[in-house]
Amino acid sequence: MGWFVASWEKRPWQLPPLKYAWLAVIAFIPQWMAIYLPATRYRINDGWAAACVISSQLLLLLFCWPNRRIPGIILLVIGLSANLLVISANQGFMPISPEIAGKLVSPEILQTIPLGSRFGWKDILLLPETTHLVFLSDRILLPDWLSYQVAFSFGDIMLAAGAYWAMAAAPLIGKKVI
Amino acid sequence: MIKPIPAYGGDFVLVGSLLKANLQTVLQPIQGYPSHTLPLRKEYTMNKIFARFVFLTQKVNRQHVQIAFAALALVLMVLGAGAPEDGGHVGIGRIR
Repeated sequence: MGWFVASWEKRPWQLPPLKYAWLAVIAFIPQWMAIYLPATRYRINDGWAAACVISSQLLLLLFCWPNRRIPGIILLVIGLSANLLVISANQGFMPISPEIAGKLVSPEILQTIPLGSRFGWKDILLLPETTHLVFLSDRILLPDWLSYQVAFSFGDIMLAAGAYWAMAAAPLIGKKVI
Repeated sequence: MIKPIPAYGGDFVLVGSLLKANLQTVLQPIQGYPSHTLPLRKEYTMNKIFARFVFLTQKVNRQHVQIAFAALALVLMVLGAGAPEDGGHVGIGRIR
């Protein structure tokens, strides 16, 4: 979209001028080690993994502050804050209900996962009654007719919209429009 | 022209010739050692390697580096802040 706007106006396409980009890289490191890197994620227990996720998101929130005037960042902050709130309130992981989880995996697999244990890497299987801030949890699904299913939260929608806005509006930064 | 050493015989003359030939390959590019038989090689002393490194790094566009870094930051921001779950690795990895 950003590229399209830029080429329509015959301007070179550019990314949003993010300040302190190195802070985002540093902020991601704890989460990368606890969630994404296979060599380390099996060695880190749930408590430390939760601490890594929360500290990482706090640092990402810090990274947003000097960039708050860039279009779209405000939506990223809203999404990040929503996810951070619900994660912090539920043992450091994103809660997902057995009903929603049942749409993602087979019942046989779901039976092997006890309530209160991790589901995937960032989620935790919790009943809606025992979930804090349940409206911010992973409770939204893609339409049934799609073959690929994924559960996401209100915060994830805000993040996607914020990233889209930031990329689309980047060519307009510096003009009178923004 | 290599003078033969009469006291030790031909073997030493051969070794001496080979040594000189090797020496030529080493010294020729650095010191301009005269040779009509060996091809010329580029001279890469430490100073020149450093100068070449500086030259190449100056050719990297600073703006391109900044764009790549901003793209990385945005990707990591979304990846780190988001928590969608597709169940792809549930039941495959270790569940604690």
